Amino acid sequence: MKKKTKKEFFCYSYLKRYKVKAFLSPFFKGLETVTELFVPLIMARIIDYGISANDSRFIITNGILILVLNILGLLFAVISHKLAADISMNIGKDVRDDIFAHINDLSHAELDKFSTTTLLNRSVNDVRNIQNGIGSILRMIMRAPCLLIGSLVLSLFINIKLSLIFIVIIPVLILVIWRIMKILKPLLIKIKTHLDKTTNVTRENLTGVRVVRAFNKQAHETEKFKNANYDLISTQIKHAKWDALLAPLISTIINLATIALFYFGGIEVNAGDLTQGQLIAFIDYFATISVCILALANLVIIVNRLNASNDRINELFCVKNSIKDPANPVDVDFEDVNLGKVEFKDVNFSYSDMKNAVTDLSFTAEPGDIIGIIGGTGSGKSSITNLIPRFYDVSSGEILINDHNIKKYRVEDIRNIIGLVPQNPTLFTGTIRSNMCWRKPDATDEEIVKALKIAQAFDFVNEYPEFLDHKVNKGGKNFSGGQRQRLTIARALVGNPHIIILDDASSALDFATDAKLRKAIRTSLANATTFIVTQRTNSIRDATKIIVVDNGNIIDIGTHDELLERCQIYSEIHYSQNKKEAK
Amino acid sequence: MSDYKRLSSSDMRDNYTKKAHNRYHKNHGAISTLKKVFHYAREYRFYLYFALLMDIVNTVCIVFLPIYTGKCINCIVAPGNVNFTELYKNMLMMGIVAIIDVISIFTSKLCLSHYNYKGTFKIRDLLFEKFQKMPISYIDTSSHGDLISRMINDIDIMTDGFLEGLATALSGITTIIGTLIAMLMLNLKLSALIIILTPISLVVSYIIVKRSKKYVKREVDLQGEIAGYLEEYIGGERIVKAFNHEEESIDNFNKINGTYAKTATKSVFYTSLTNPSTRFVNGIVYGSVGLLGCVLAIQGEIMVGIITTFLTYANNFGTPFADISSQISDIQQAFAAANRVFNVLNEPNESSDEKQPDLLNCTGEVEIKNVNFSYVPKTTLIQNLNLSVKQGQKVAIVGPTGCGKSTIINLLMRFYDVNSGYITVSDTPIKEISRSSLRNKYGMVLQDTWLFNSTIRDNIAYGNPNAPIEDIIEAAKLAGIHDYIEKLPKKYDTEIIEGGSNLSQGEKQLICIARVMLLKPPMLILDEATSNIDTRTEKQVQEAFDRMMQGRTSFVVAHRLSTITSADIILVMNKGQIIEQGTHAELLKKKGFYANLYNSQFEKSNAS
Repeated sequence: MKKKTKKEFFCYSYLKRYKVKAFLSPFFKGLETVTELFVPLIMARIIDYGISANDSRFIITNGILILVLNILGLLFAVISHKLAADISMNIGKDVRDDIFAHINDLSHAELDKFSTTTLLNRSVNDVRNIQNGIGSILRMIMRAPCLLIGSLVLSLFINIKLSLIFIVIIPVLILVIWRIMKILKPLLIKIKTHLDKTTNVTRENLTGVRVVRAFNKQAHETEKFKNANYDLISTQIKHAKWDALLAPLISTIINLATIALFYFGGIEVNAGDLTQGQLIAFIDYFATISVCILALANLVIIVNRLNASNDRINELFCVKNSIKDPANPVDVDFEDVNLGKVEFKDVNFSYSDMKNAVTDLSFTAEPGDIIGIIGGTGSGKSSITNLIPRFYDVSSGEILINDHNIKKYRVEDIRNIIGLVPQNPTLFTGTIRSNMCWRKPDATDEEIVKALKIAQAFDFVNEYPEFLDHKVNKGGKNFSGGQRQRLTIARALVGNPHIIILDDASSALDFATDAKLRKAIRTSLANATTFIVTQRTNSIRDATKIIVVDNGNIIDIGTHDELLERCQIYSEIHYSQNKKEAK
Repeated sequence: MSDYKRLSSSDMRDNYTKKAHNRYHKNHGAISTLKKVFHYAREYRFYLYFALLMDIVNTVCIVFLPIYTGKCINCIVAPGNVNFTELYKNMLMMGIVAIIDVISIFTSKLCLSHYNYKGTFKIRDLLFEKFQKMPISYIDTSSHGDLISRMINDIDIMTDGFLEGLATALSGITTIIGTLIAMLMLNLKLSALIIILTPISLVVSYIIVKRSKKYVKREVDLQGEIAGYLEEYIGGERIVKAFNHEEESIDNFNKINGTYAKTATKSVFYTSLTNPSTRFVNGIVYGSVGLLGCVLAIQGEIMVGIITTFLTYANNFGTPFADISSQISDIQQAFAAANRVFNVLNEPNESSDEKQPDLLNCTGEVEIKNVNFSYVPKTTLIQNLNLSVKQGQKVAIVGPTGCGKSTIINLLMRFYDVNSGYITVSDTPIKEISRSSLRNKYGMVLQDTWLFNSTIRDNIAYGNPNAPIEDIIEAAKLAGIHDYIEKLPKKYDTEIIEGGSNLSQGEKQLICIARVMLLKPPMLILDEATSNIDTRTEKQVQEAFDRMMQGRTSFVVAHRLSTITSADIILVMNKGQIIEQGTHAELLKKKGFYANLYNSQFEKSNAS
């Protein structure tokens, strides 16, 4: 049995913020329904009294009454729908705001649990389900049940015996709808799976077009696609079959019921227990009831979808930020040169329930030092640098900046000390300037230019006529990989960080540029401690200390020459990259 | 990011997009598009004909049902005045008509969905075949997301739109005509009233649709903006945190979100008005028909049952108009989607090589003579390239990132054809032989490894699906990946998921090498990885490459020094052009671009 967790997120509770409107919208909808219910009754009276008594005035007054009821109905509906749209869209906005704020509050450890696509789906699609669902509920919650119950009650008033037909037919209708929907639901899921498969084959073939043609496999791939495609349409046709059955089945039931109505109605009228007009009203109510049942079935689907979305969003809110500011934080003096001093003491770290990513790491970096970290992918290199800005907290041991445990600082302050260049060079929509002001919102043009020069990005930026105001498209896609990488380096250097972390940040740069970049950092930011995570020994041969990592273990720490001498893995890496120097 | 997508400098890319843009926005007339849709689905046309027939049957039922309902009511007048024999007769007729009604609706829907989905199936197949036959340049210059969206979304929108549109139009038109005839036959005055009142509902729905359309469009745009913002910032969330940028990004989001909520409220409100307004109009029609009917009944012109018949007709007559008008935007979208799909289908195929003979004996000699080539007409890229490679020689292609090293691969494999000059393999010009036989002679391992979702075994046996397991193991051993595969729980039957996300970059490359080793081709095209390969497997990959190259003519896009120094010929490329050619020693002596490139790799930043 699954343990029930407390709901952190419950979309209906947002209705509380709009109490009055949330009450009024269904209320007016109810009024609209009432006006609708009275129309057949009036019509019955017109037929029964008006026609038999030849009373034209009676017919006209009642006709005007029908018109008035119609206008009132429309008016009530407009009010109700306006309110419902207002509430549902505002709730959608509130929920999206809250989700985005929550995501921004989470630390890396929690974000790791969700992929970007998941987060996106939850904040876009699931919220849309919720906002549309709440809108539909507000509009339908009164209408369908009211019409259903109203029609039933009114028909009971008219004639109890004939109403029994309804009592028999309604469960049959519900059963038929429920049964078919139960068949349709898994088919829809299957269609989705097949559609994904078809998409996959298409994508595979577009990205791998060269391989497919190099191996002359076009016919084979077409066959593969045909199969996926065929599976898709067979399921779709199966779904369409059942779907096509629903409406005719319902109308058959209604038609059969109408025939029954005539049979019993004939007897009743003959006996004088029912009038002709009332019989017509019965037929009207019957049509209303069947429409209501369909609407209710729809409502059930909407509520189900809404609940599923609510659960998914709830899952997100149940995850809480684990990295918090301390109660009495140490203040940071950003002029202090010693902020570049970083010390690792017996640090161990593992991602949630996985094997150690960092094991027993201890070292000290003084301001101005270059610390190289080298190892293969998945060896735990980036894990070390992820600990310094407190993206993750250590499992045991401690990390000190300027002789204070980093947990003693405000999280914001630590990150202000650091200039980070991530592995994936990502820029944000805006201009070069807006991207350069990320570390220091009030950075001057001189500061930006200085950073661009160090990052070897000034030359190409200078060529743009708009210079710093040159547009950056989404993700920086209008720059080449190398340009993007240099811009992300410059972004981290604006406002002279005390600690610089280059996480495999020069992979897209050629050797000459990489060398120039490192030289510029050394001369222009002499007091900054630089961490260089890399796969190339040439990038770190002048480092103060090099940490060699493999499989989460610290293999050795030393200078380039020391490691060449004594560390087998390091020399292996080095000589495989520089064969000329071997032996 | 694939190297092959970055064909050349950015202005060339602009040129491409412009061209692509024009290509995508070619529009055809509605009629010719429709003709084409029917043409593609012509082999299923009997479904369509039968659906039409059933729709006509159904209309007859829809017309007769209210007549029998009215007749039944006419039989039930007052106490003691019920004509039971006549009533039972009409009830029986009603029952029969109702059953025919059900059968005809069901069959019509079924036939239409068969027609629709089979048509979809065919068009998807054709589009996929097109992808296999069109020149690689088209796929290189198109966004893959866009092509996938045409394959999946556009074809869906197209068939849904046409199916729904077709179904509504077919049954709508027959219903309107049938009801009209029946009404006119029953009573002229009541018919006139309905014919006059129905346009009101059309006008009302037109007004609402027009108003809501404006807001719906803005809502959709803003929704896209929100999704884009979220994608960018949630994707870059780690950077946002690293730079303490949470507050700004939240503030910005709240602003966009607020604007969206305001617009969406309006669009949702207007859209949701459709139902009550239709109800209102129907209510008016209902009231008017009822009133006039009663007046006529008093005058003795009609019987009471006719009123009910007409009330139903009023509804039946108005519904198709509303249905068709609500479908119009879907149908418009379907046309747009169909055009997007047909535009791809209309693209020319690769030049045919069906009549060209196969290349039979290949010793591995390659000759490039006076070759000129560029991706974009009227620009120059490769000019007068000459190269003579003897059997078993190793050609290293070097240069900075994005210099166009892949262009050579494109030409050798005939992914692209040269503009002038010629390339020969074993003295046969490659333009005169079939592409498949040429490509068979090359073993190609690219930097962006391509594995498909299946087992490791299937992936290795890609070039020869019937290869016995011993050969596959042998190939894996030569690639140096056998031991690794043996350690996996399901060994060679391990499923590779989503492009190989369960394997490391190096392991993926080793599998690609095994795939080539299985075929033992006389010539090789290799693309060395720049980075992101773990150091341990990188060594294995290198060794596998070396083993593979023994005795084979090889073209290597080279990043490692050892490959370059041991090459027989080095091609130095920059900005799409070959600027130097020679052996390592010769090029060093030249003190040109290559010498610079080579030396910069060993510049020590602390030494200067």
